[in-house]
Amino acid sequence: MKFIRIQYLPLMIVLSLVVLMKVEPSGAAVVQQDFLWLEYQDAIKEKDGSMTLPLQIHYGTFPQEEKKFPDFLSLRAFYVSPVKEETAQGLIYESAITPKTEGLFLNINSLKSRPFTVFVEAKISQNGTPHTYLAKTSFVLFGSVLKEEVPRYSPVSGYPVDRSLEITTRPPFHYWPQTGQPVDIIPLWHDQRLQQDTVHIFDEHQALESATTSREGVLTYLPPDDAALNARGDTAFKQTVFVVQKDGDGGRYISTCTMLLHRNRFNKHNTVMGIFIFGAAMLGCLGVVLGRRRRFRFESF
Amino acid sequence: MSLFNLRSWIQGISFLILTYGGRFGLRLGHFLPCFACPYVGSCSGHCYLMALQGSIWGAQIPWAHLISVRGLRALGMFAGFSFLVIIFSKTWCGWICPFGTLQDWISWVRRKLAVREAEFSESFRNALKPVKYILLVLLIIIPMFIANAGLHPDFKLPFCQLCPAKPLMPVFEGNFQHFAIDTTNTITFVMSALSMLLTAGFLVGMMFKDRFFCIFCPLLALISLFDRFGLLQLKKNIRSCTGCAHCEQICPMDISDVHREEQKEPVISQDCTLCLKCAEHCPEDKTLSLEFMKKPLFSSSRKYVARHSIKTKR
Amino acid sequence: MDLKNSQQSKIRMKQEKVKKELQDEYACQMDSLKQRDDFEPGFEYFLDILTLLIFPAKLKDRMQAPLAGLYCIQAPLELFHALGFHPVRFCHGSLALQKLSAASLPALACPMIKSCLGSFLSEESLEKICDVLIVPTTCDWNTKIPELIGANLRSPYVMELPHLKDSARGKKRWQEEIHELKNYLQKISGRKLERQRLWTSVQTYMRAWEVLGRILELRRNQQLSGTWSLILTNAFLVDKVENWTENVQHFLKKHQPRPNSDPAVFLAGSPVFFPYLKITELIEEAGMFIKADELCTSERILASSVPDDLSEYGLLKALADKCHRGCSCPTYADNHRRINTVMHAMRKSNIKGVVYHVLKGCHPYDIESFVFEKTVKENGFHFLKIETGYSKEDRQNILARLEAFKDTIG
Repeated sequence: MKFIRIQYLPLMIVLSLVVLMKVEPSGAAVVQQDFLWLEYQDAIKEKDGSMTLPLQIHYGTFPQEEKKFPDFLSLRAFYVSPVKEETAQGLIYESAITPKTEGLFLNINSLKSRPFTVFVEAKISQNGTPHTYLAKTSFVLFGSVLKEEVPRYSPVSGYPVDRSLEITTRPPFHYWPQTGQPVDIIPLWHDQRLQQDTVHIFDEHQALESATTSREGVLTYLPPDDAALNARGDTAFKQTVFVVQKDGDGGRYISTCTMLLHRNRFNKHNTVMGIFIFGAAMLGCLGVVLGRRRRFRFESF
Repeated sequence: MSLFNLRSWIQGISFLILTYGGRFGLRLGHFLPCFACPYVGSCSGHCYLMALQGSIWGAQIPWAHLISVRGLRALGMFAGFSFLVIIFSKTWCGWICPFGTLQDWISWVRRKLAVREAEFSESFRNALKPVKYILLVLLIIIPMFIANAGLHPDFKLPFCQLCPAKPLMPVFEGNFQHFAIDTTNTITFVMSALSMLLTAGFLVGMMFKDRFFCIFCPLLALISLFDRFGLLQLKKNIRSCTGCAHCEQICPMDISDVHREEQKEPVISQDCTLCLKCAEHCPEDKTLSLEFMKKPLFSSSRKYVARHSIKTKR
Repeated sequence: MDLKNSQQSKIRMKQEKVKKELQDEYACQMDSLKQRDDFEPGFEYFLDILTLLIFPAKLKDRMQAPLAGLYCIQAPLELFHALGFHPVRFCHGSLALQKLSAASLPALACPMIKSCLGSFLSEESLEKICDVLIVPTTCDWNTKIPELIGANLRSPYVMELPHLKDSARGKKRWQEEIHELKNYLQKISGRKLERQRLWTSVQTYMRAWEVLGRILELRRNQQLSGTWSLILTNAFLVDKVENWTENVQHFLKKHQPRPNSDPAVFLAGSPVFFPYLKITELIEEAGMFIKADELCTSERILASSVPDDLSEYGLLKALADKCHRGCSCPTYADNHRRINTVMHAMRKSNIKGVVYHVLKGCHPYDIESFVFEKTVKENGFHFLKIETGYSKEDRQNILARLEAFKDTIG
């Protein structure tokens, strides 16, 4: 009996932990001006080894207030890849937008490991004022197809979207963006930095925040620790959407940038506690072993 | 040179290569049948157990992907592992495994200090034998549950999370970060705390018992599935064994099968690490031999015992 | 009073007589050995040493250490060595000594026991001069020794030998016996066992084991006769082990082998000890060569020990194992692998026949001979069983049988 318990101990511990999975809470957001934004779905490992990332296009506010898509004058999606890190420029391809019952999607597929930037642009006229919506996001896809990649589409020449108001980030790419790691948000108006400008930060689990860019036009955003995200495994992610708005050029421009965030991998590692537990356990085990060893001695009759 | 010295040299060299070889650009693959711990930044190859549990080449794979390029890749990894095991058999454990070498070094210190080795009764030792198979099954099933049954992803690489090599081996490159307790959530906390407790327990065990960890090693269990197919075989001449039990007495894994065997020639058993101490200490000529594809590489002899058995311990 | 005195003087007279006969028996055997064709000066040392057995006082002087008298080969010599004792083995091959014990033993008693008890009852007794007597309970005769001699002397120390070698409990019990023996010796000697000394002793005896291996190798190559190798191994423990080892090495260096191409036989069975060399001499006289044996007075005088754990406990454990499982005495119950020693040596050294020697009254070997015969014959070898005693009366008879046997294996 004794041994059976010892043998199954790891199994019992492991199984009992399954029960401890936490429920995720969700934060509330204040309804603001409607905007266009991109939502990451779970990336799919294809059987051939390539990676597909589905992105859903949303209109409304984030994340609850889903609005029916109005009749946009135009709605187009492009992706840039490979992107040169220094210039954030690259070959531009148009991406098909697939309507499904749940909404509009676009799928980015990568055979190799490549960085991508995706733009979705929509235009509409509201009360006679032209509105330009721009949703953007950047990511890296880790495809691992063994054969050589052949271009499947031909690139588009020139920049097809109106980038008058664009949110850029520094660094432009991070293969594993995580909470607790600062990122610079830099809104550009006609490629000029916007000083003291308001940026709205929508987060799946946090309350709506508004922040102002510095004199240099930079907002350094430190994604806060997120208990709900922490509870969900290290590949789980949430989305944070940065929104800026600007009136000018005879119209209104609303741009967003979606950032995918994982939980922080190392911030919660406590080496001191670990070594303490290790040392205490060592002492405990040594005590038990040395105590038990006396029994091996033969008694003198 | 005695077999013992040869083995010590090979162990030392493979320890250096597997622990620091990565610094010199050496990449030996992700399917090594020994504890070349991937958590050592400068390691030159990876323990197959990580690949086996992982989501790229291993068990953390959705059912739908089993028959696909991904499934093939996992199979390829296993084929590479099998190939290495068939060629070198269990010398991976007794001659190459850096974690085994570490245990042998600790035992060497204990021997120098003349501290008595702990003894397990035969029944207790036999009761421990299935543990490694249970661990092997668990480390395959848990990732499958993660991929298919919604088990929490923080249980990924369950064995690596608890393996004492994970905190201990990186120490050799000055890295203590795997001693950390991960307070991210309850699961990571429990797993990392358990890891520390197990590491401490195993380390103390290793101080008092030869190859203490190997008793529980699921990789040994996996390798021993190939015992019959290995090109290297330990053979016993059952007609010349007089039952002196030197082999049993000297065995770091407390194997009595070699001593007991009276029916068949191959005597590699599930716990054997092919350290060949038994063949080295067998005083009967040509009674225990190591054969590579039926060609004897080493045979026991009275002369060898007389020449080496005492000297190697000084 | 007178009666008692006259009895005592009778005993003393008998002792005197036996003493003289014993010396004659030794001298006679020495002479016959020295007159052999293959005698060489290198053997002198071993013959001289063997002579000490009948002069216990000289032996004690030479050793300069308390003597531990051992029956059989199960008590670990290293332990005595490490505690400052010199271990001596009580094997007696003397016919003369039997006369002293004739009245105290059954007529069909084992000749060696008769001799041993005779030695006990003699005037200058090796047994009486020893500081400790150790008796492992091997065969029935040995088990009864304490009873037979207990009245005369302080009690010998008895070690209970578990007759199951391959069971965990037997192993454990024997280990306990060894620890108890250690405690006993510590008490007697007033010394404490030091681990380092024990380890040194293990190494010392391993060196002796190594040279023993070289003696056997010579014999396997038919370069040293069975009789002479028996002299060499009989002399083991009659001198300090270091001296014996050194002298064997010296002998091996000087030894000039003569080619011998007689048909080879394996000698199995009851122990053969100087001066009882009848069986080996007769085998050689019949034109056969004893290439190997499994006698506890020859090839099995010493086994290897290979301690892995060098703590005191580990060393004692290894020694216990060597004297228990490492020993293939026929008195064990689970001893079926014993015959492997014989079969392996025969196959390896190209030996065609077994001469199975049984001392009349030596039960374990006698009983075992039937199983042996069956196995040996099944494996296609020839088998000859010879039952005899220390007297030389049956020489011609045995010689005739051996010569006939030679023809069958020739």
